Amino acid sequence: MLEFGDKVVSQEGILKFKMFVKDFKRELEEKKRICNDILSSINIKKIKTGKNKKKWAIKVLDGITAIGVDGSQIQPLREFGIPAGAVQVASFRVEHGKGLWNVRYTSKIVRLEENIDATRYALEMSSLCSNMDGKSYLFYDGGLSPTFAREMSREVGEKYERAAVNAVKRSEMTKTPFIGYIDRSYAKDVARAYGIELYDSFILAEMEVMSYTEPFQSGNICYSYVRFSPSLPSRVEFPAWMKKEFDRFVEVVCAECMLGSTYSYPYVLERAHSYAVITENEKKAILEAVGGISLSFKWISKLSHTFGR
Amino acid sequence: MCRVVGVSDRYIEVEGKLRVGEIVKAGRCLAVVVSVSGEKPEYIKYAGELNKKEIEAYLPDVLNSRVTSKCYILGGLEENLCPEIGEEVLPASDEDLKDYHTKNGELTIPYFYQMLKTCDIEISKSVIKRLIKIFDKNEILEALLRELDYMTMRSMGL
Repeated sequence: MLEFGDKVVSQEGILKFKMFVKDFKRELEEKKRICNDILSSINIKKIKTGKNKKKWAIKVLDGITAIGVDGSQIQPLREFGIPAGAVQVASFRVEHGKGLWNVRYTSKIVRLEENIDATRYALEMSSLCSNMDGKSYLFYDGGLSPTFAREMSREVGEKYERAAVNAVKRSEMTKTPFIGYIDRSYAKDVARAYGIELYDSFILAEMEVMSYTEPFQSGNICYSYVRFSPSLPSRVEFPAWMKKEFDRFVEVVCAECMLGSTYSYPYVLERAHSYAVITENEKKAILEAVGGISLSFKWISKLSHTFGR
Repeated sequence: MCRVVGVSDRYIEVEGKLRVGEIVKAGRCLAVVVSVSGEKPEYIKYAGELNKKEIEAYLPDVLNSRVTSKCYILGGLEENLCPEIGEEVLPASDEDLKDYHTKNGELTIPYFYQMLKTCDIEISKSVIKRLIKIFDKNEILEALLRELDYMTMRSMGL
């Protein structure tokens, strides 16, 4: 019982505090023991980069074209009577070794009643699909199996599902390596396979730096946990057809991370993110440009109800 | 491509490198570049053990630093139009400049007094020099340039 009828700093209060901390420590040690047991049963491989990680990375990436796709969005500015939001997706392409690069944008105006996150995901997936040429390595900032979408409305869930399935199928059809990189994953797939409720990244927190787990498969998607920096392991998702050659693919993922500014996130995604961002100044510019023709939100709501939009 | 990223009072902010003193066309407006400033290039964050040649070859985009140019609005080509954010900025052509500075067949510089009050004298001189090239040896323009030169010398105490 954590509740008691005295002051916090009292004989009873101190005793309760001590007991709580002891119990917490016991629980933590038990969890750690379970994690170590799981960790020792998972096949973990190492990547040898040598002392000079950036030099190693450019050797691995020489001649490889990598494309990073990331998006950003502006929510409908209801408070200013603007009944639409917008999504902007940047595809950053770099030909390593040749010094060539470009950024392409795809944007979409999103209606008030549309789910802006799902629209953004669909646009990101379609940008990835249009870059699947059988040669480039595609990187996406997020998962390839939007499991969270199952908890949403049927229509929205299907939008996510359709976009992801199409991209994964196209990657297999064109044999274009396609990697979903999740920097901070809250997945519990490995943990649940062992019958416990913990985050996988927590279980694998003691993995050696510069190592990765052998891929796990779930349907036509595979995933692996990689640890390229002292922070918690990241999750990498990819279509099942890449599983056989994963050791080769993961080396490219690692090299991209070594080029990044933090050593734990792919350079190509870091750059895509920086180009995708809609800055506060840009938001202000939209507001200035569209604000003049703003509508009353009350009026929009009434119309939406009347016409069922 | 240079484009307008900000508009305030009589100035526009342009993303992209321009030359100080250059006259540009932003949408349907004429403006003169008064200053150019650049941000610290991003490669410092990524370089590590790599040399400049390797960065150029493997992380080429980080060598680019964002450059912005501040331009003073001279006026609108059709009416008193203000450039809009996102509009493309190009060097002003001789035809555009001739059209804007001619009224009833006579030379006109409606912004001159305000420009002289607001901008650095060297900016005004470069505008007049460009106009001299277009209005082939115009006496008024040459007199203005001489006056501006005199003002410079006077300010230097020569």
